[in-house]
Amino acid sequence: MSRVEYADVSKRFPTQDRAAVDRLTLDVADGEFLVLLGPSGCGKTTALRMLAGLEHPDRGDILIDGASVIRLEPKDRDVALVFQSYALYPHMSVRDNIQYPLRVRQLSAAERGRKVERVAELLGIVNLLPRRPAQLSGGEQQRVALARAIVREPRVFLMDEPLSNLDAKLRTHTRTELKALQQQLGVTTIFVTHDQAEAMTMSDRIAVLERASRWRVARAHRRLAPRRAARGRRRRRPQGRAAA
Amino acid sequence: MVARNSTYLVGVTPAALLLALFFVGPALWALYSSLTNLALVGIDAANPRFVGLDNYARLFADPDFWTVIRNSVVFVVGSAVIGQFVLGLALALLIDHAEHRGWWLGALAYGAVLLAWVNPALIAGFLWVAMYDFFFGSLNHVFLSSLGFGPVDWIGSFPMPAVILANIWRGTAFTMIIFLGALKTIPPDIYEAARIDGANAWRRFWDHTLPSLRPIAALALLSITMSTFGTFIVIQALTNGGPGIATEVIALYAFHTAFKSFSIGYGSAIAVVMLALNFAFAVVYLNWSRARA
Amino acid sequence: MTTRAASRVTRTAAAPRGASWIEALAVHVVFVLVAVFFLVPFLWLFTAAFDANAEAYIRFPAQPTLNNFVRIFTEHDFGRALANSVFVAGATMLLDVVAVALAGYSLSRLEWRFKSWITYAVLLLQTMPLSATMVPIYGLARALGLRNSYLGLILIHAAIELPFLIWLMKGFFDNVPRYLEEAAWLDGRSKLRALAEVVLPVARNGIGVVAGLSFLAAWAEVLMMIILIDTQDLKTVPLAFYEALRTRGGYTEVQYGIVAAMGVLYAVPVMAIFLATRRMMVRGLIATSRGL
Ligand SMILES: Nc1ncnc2c1ncn2[C@@H]1O[C@H](COP(=O)(O)OP(=O)(O)OP(=O)(O)O)[C@@H](O)[C@H]1O
Ligand SMILES: [Mg+2]
Repeated sequence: MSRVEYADVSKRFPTQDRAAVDRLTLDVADGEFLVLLGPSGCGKTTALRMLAGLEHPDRGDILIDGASVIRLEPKDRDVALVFQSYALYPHMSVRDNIQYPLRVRQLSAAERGRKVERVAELLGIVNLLPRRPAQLSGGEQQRVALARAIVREPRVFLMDEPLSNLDAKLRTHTRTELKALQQQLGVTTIFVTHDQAEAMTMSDRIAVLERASRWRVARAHRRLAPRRAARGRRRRRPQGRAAA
Repeated sequence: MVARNSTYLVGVTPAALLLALFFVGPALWALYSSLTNLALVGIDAANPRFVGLDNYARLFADPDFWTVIRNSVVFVVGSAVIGQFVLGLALALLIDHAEHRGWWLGALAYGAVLLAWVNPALIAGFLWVAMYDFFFGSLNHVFLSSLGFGPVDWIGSFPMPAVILANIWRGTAFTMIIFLGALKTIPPDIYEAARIDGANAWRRFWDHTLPSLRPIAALALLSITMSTFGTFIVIQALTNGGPGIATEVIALYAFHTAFKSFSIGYGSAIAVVMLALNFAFAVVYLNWSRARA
Repeated sequence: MTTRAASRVTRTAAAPRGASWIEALAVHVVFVLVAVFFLVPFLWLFTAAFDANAEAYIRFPAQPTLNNFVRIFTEHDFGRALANSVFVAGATMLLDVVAVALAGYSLSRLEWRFKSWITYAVLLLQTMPLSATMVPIYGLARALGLRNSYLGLILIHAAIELPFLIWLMKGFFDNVPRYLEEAAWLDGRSKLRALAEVVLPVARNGIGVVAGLSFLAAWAEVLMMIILIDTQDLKTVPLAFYEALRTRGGYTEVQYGIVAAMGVLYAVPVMAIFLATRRMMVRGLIATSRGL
């Protein structure tokens, strides 16, 4: 049961002139599938990393279930992130990669095995389990990264372009699977993509980031035209409600 | 941000403590005690007096000190600049060349040079003690006598060249390895382009190979200069600074002053001079290598 | 396709063709001379160690014998020296690996205005010659009661190579992408355990180099041994060797066979470990002067 709120969050990297994320306000309902859409470099990854605790916002607050998380260590946030660069542990087999978070939570070997088998089947990577990440294609690695996030059943899924390396057919298939799974688990999900079609088919809502600081949130399937008029209203409001 | 960095600052502490205790501490202690008449034994051991710059005045007025400085310069120039640097560079070029030609004997030379380098310094000193021995050393007893020459008193007649040779033997590998590494990073297309331009082997060498080694050469030179400047064990085992003070370099001089004449304050003054010289080299070295990065 | 074929043609055309036999001969003669110059002293060491009546010159023992090795253990208490050396070098290695892993990782990940100053200071310390600070270190060790103690030997030897090793290890950690440990944090691990379970295994080559170099350095080092140890109980291999060598010029005549046998046992572990891990060690070494 996890509602995620970004409240007027800003972040500028010390080496950068412009803010990576400028006064982001966003409200993601419990169990919602929100897609972040926007041009490269507009701060999508940074927004996810702040929620995960890997970056610290300069100002504003981030809440999960109404409680501020910005003072929590990443390990205490119970958030799973599928990295844009996969971040598989190169010295572990695929199986060990997937069950690593379960091992951390001290699940029994039997239970770990069961859960790993289930996600592996779901993502079609059962035959890859004994291999090392270096022996996988980009698409295969991506599915392993997804599996490692899913197996945990966290409060929030953060997915940074998790399907970008799959071929068209596998991509369509995984989309459907992922969406069905998310609905079944009811885990709040923030999903970054560059693919408009993907955004349309998967999301409950879409947040469009045109440039840093220009966030717009729309219901899925609504036409996403740039709305300059929205600029004045945009700032202080929970955007989800505004668009709804 | 601050909170996150503080974990990392904690991570540095064990190492920082060790470094403070055995690097920074001794350097500061040397600076302090060089201003006193601290001694190893006697009254001055218990109650050292502050003597200002007396130790330094005494040091700079001491003709032995200037001989020692000259010895150090000769030793560094002979064994590092001329010996290790030139020999190391030549070997690297030859071995690299042989590799391109597919000649394997280069690997033997490489291994032999490396072996001399990975030895404890004390072993190197000892091996050359035996090599130079007047009556029974291999140089006299085997090499010269088989050529029909009489024995030469290597250490007695040519003390400085003898220690320089031993140090070259030990230290050449470093520059050789550095240059071999640098040669491997020269992109082959430079040569290919040059070849298409019709440049011959010598031109390619002068125009492309050597210039691309220049930055690393400067660093290697400074680096071996510093390490040679601090050489102690090889010389101590071989001549212990003798005959007389013919091979007494600054590191030995500091040691002998402190532990033979028991004057720690005076010995510290020598150490401070050494540290200051080294510091000057190091700053130049680090700034050059910064500029490269 | 065409370009690749073309470039292959130029490469073969450019390669070994022009080597004349004069060049080949000259290069090979140089290599042989170099190998002889660098190997002859070792030839003496290894023949003398197995020669009952060893002399200072090279000769092949009429009857190779292990007598010298037996004598250093029975008459010169070399077993104790060996045990002391293994203990000191091993403990130094452990201490260094821990300190270097923590410091190298922290320096690699730290984001701080003064970080470049820290790195600079570490490099500066690395260039500080031990022979310059030995007098003050002696004074310090005496004041702290660290002379003639295992603790003193271990602490000092751990410190000697520390700047270099930290700097070396930082380079290895810089090559480990941050997202790996970030993934481990998100999977629920603390920073320390993420370092141990994810970062260190990925940087294990670096840890291997650090362990190897710190062991070898502590094993081979003699200067600090000379000034810190004057009891027979704590005598280490280099010290035993040093004493046997120092009798030269004294009243007793130096027994070359004995010294050579000690030398073999002193040098061979160093050579063996180094040569076995040569690639890694040399890479570490090159890294130091390239990245600086
Ligand atoms: N660690 C960092 N240090 C400095 N600047 C950074 C850092 N990470 C990101 N930035 C900058 O912040 C801005 C936002 O980056 P971010 O990675 O969030 O973009 P993105 O929307 O995820 O882009 P993409 O679609 O290409 O993944 C960019 O201008 C980027 O250069
Ligand atoms: Mg991104």
